[in-house]
Amino acid sequence: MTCSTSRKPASFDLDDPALRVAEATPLDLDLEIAVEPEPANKTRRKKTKGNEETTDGTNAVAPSTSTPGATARFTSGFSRWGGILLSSIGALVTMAAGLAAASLVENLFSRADWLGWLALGLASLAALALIAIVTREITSLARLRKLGRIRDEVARAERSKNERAARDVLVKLKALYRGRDDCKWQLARLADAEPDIFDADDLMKVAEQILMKDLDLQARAEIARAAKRVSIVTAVSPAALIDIGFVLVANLSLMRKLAVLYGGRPGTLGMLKLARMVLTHLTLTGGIALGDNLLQQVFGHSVAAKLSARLGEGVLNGLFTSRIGMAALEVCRPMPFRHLPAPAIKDLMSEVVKSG
Amino acid sequence: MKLSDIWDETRFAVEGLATYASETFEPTIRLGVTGLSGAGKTVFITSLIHNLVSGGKLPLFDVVTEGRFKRAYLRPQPDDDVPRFDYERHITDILKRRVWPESTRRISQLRLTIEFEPTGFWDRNVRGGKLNLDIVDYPGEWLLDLPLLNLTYAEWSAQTIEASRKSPRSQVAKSWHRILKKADPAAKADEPLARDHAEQFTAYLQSCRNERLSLSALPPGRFLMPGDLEGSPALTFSPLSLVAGTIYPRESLAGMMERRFESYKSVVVKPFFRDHFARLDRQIILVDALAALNAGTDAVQDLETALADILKCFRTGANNWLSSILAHRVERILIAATKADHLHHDNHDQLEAVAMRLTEQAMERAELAGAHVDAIALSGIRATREASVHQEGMDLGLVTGTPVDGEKIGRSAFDGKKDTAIFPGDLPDDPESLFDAATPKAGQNPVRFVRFRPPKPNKGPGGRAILPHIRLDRAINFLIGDRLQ
Repeated sequence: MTCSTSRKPASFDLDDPALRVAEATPLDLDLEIAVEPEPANKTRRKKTKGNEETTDGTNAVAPSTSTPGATARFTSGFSRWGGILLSSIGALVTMAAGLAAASLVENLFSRADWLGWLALGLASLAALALIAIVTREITSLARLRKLGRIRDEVARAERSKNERAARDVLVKLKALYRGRDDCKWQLARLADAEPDIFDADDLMKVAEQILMKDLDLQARAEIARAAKRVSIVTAVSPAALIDIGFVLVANLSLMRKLAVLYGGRPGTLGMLKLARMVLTHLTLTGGIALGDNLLQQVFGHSVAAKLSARLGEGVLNGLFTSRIGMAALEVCRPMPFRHLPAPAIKDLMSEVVKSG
Repeated sequence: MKLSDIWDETRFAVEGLATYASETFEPTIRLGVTGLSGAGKTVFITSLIHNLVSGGKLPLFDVVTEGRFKRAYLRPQPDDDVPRFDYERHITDILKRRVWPESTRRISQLRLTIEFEPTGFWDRNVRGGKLNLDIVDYPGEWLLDLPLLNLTYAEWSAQTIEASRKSPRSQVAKSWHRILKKADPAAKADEPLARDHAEQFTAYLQSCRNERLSLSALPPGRFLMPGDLEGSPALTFSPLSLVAGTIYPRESLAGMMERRFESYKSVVVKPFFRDHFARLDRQIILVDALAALNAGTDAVQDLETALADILKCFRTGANNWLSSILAHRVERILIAATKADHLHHDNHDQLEAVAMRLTEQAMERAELAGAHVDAIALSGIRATREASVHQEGMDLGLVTGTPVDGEKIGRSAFDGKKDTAIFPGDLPDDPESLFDAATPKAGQNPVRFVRFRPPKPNKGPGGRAILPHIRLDRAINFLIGDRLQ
């Protein structure tokens, strides 16, 4: 502190009108008391002005390591060719699925006209419903508040050990969950612990342990449930089109549920990543379902072989869904995984198998 | 062999097996709490026990925040030959009488059992989530005796006398130097004379210790902290100015002193290290950096020397008598700058930096390989609250509390009854300047820390008193958190 030479030790009377005593530790678990003592905050801000340069110095360095754009990207030849491969397969799958539907309708037409018309009507109705559901999921996801840069701010506060930044980001975090019944108890506990903590990293640690723990568990259950559903439906569904449609709906609704759970949707970059993952998933699901006939040729027509191939297909699709769920969890969670373990595919799959 | 002997042997063997079995199912961890006199050992232990036993607020103790903490309670300690830590009296002093408890004068011990919900499958179903925490409280001065083991009486005399001739020690060594000058080492041994010497020498060490000088590196440790050995021959010796190369006869004064010095090493120093120190698993070293800062650069430098000597005890290198008797190495060492509540929290980082700086060279030299070492600023019991005042265009971060009767700051003196807000001064961002004799002008300390009385107790849920603290939970988590998984 540059001004330290002029600041001599001194004592003050407690009746001094200029004196502001910090709030006593709130002991009862009442949310209202938890509101930040604003004047104390302001004075701290002014007082540390001398420090500003040093803290800003560390801040200036920090973002370069934390923003996703600055992280090293491995742009090997594979990703470009991989993209071409995936998109061409995707196109093929879409064509094949369309062909399958068209040939089904044609087949039915050749048997009886009314069957054909019925099938056509049902197919269009299904397509319409699918489009409606997808639109609804996407719009409700878009309506949610964007989480913005809160994750970066949490990471930066923790790294720079800047207590003021940590308290600021904590206010934003608490605002995400204020008014939610399922978070009331956690917010009260956090408010109770907060005044006794003095360090940025400790504040972030306790916030993660208290706020995120139950949300993480719920998110995990949500992902497992979606994965299970996708597994079962793709294992028993008769047509590739149904697989693709169901996977699309299940994944979109999973993403929306996670975003609602954590209090906001991910930023644009996160959304793009998720969209790409979902597209890959759809392609592979369709591909496998269509390849089913091929597998039958290879493994023979016995029921057992067909059944196991179906089951394998279901498990694989469940795996893809849980992978997307985890990626969505990571971009929706307002704090990075630091003090709580990030869920692993292994745990999720055992949960899926257990309950399935 | 008599039948009763066989019976005894069998019983011992069975008891040994039983201990082994109970260790498997109820793991025990020995936590050493040490620090030089006045560092706050007793307060730290009392607050630790109180906060664990009566459900204090410990948000940074993971097992509590994760909701896996069930309860903690005191149990009879396993070692019958060590005094019990008098928790009940200390907590009454603090809560009822609002005075600080009596300081540690000897080794004492207490067993605390923590029940918790383990995370692992094996632990949850087989071990059952219990941890015995044996807290061993001993004076840090005793650790300063370790270097004596490698010294002869003549070497030790020469070193001690030389140190006492330097300022600031020379100011308080005058009366001891007078008797030292008169003494003839070759004269016939005489018990009253030896006692005179020992008394003068002890008085010299004690005045080095008091608040004005606040020096720390003052071996032999038992002269200041005699424990139950007060007045015994092993403590009745002192350095003499010996002539190098001369061999003094056994019955001369020097011969007697030398014999006693040797027996001090073998009956006092070695048994302590063997029976208590060597069995520790975790260690917290409390450091009262603020008292040293109050007294000035000499005290700070002396504290650094003392801490370096203390940390040498944790070195497990070769050529060390200690390493041969150490059952295992201490796994975690926490260096804690205590009394952080005397400062506004804006200054805690600086205090931590001072603690780091005090110990960093020693830590490097001590090759504490394998042990986790950390430094924090803490306060076992938080006696103050924070406040701020706007003055001359700046905001000052203050601490408010009840200063102890007789404390002074500037021209105002305190009576121990009235609450007051104190601005203790700012610690420098660069701790180096505190170690450099050139920076602070004499008599014009940049900082002045006032001692406060224990806080008025807060009532928590359930009507039990809550002891506020600063980072006590973080310290506990560092020291034992890994064993509560």
